[in-house]
Amino acid sequence: MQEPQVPDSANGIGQSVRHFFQRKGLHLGIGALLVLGYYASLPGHLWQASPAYQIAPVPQRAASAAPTDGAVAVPLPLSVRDGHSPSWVNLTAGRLQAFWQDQGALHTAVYTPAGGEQEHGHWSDVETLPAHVHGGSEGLARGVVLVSDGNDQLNIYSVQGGATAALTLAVQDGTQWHMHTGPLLSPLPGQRVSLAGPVARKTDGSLAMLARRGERLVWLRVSAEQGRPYIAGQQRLPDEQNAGTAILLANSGDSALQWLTPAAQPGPLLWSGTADRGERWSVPQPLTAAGAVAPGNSLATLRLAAGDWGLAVVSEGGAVQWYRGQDAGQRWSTPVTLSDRGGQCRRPDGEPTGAPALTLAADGMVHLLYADAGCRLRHQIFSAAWTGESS
Amino acid sequence: MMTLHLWVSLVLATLVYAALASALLAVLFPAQTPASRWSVVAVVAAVVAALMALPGQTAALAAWAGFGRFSMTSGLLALLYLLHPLFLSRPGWRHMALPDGQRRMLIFGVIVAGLVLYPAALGMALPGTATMDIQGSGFGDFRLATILLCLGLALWVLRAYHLCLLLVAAQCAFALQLLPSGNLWDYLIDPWLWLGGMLTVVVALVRPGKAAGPVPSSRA
Repeated sequence: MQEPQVPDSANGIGQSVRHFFQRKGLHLGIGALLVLGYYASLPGHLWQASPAYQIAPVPQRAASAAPTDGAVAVPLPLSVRDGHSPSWVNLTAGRLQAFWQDQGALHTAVYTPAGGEQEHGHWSDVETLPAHVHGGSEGLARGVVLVSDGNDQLNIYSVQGGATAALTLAVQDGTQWHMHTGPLLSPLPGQRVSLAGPVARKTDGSLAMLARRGERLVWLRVSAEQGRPYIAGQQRLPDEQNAGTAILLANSGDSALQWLTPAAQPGPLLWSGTADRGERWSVPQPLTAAGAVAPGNSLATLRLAAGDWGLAVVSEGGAVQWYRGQDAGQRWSTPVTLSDRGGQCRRPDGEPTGAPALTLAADGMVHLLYADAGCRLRHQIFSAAWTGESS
Repeated sequence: MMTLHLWVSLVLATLVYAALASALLAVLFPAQTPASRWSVVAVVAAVVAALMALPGQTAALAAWAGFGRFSMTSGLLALLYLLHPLFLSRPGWRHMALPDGQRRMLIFGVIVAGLVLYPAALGMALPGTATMDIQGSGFGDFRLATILLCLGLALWVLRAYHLCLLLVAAQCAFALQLLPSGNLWDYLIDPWLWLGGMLTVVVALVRPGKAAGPVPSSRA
């Protein structure tokens, strides 16, 4: 092939371009670019296993203690007629921060357990978070995920942006909030996307949180870089389209369980397991010990030890029941009714609300937050070892 | 504050809408001069840029108009379309225009990718894909990257260089996170490109002689 002539006009440039296109160098160059594209589309450059689940040490408490109302003073119980999904965030020094939604706002109060000169635990005054940190009532309707960074600073993940649903992170800095807009959450405009907690932490600092896109449920692995959230991975749920919601419960670094509640009608509680950090899940099977449970947000879970789990389930009749599973689900305790106040709290549109929230405090006591049939928020404290025989 | 994502999205949306305006003009006024066409294209581009830069560009209307959601492929195809008359006007630059064979391959690829991706995103899995997380593979998965490499090598062997470069551009833009998405699929295709591909096929089936082609008159 001849070398191109030095161009002296537009046609000369055209000649040289044509010759360049015909040269083998271009062919090899584009081949090299394809290899570059391969590496560019592969952030890890090589196959990488999903990071392991982070397992926090579980405080133990041997004594068996029956549920007691934790609210010895204001603010609980409170009416949450329009609210949903109370949740807990564990703070330092054994304190617990409760969140609940009502009237399109996100409220919070901090519970300080008994200790020292305090004979009883006590609640702080109720605060209402600024609307922009969660996107107001629209953002709350799409769900928020609340995480503490370990220094009592709150991180709030929400879905904001109308039809272009984007993952948004609000980072608390004292009394200030820093807002960071992350990636789009759906490939299609206008598709409804929502988030749900609680999250499972991974060893690389990422969080596994539930997202619903239309009828599909997926586990998003969310990380943040310089405050800006990004999605590091995604895993599908088995039988996702028949699930009202799902909760991920890490059992060890490699294994986890996911619990699926029925979507529309009362039905069995399903569970499946993974032993490879979520790459593959077993076929969901019903937890026969639980019987029929209420649809939607009707479940809270707790890891008490490896292969030892606690479940708070809203039964078909609306009672909150406590189950203890041991030997990796081989043995289940007889359910203990924590609250039987005559049914589930319902919003004016008839949708059930008031899903329970569980957490394990530093003193080993289990704290339950739920809305009773009268839509009043209630707080109960009991020992995980409680079998229902004491009162 | 305009972030890099918004700037890139603005450029892509401007290119796409300018290309659409140019195509519409070519149909309505075939005898137009290049100067008049470029003037209209410039006006459309300015209007789109102004609309995107307005506060509230994330509103529903903007989302449905594709602002912030056009893929790199759509933007680069629009650029190729806008530059097409220039390529044809210079004898030595004709190789830079998208050849018909590659255009057909591209349409076929976009339609297949959209059929695999979008029904799955809506929860309607195609037969045999029920257990696959196709959309999730866009968050940095070696299997998708390997499939794209194989596809690129096949195109390379066929000397479909335009398509190879489109593929590499989307992958590199993904690595640099130039768009407001962390999913490689959103850099490769978008719903409007997919619908455009489907529409092209429908038009070609209904009116075989009028198969859509991004080929304004070479007189330009």
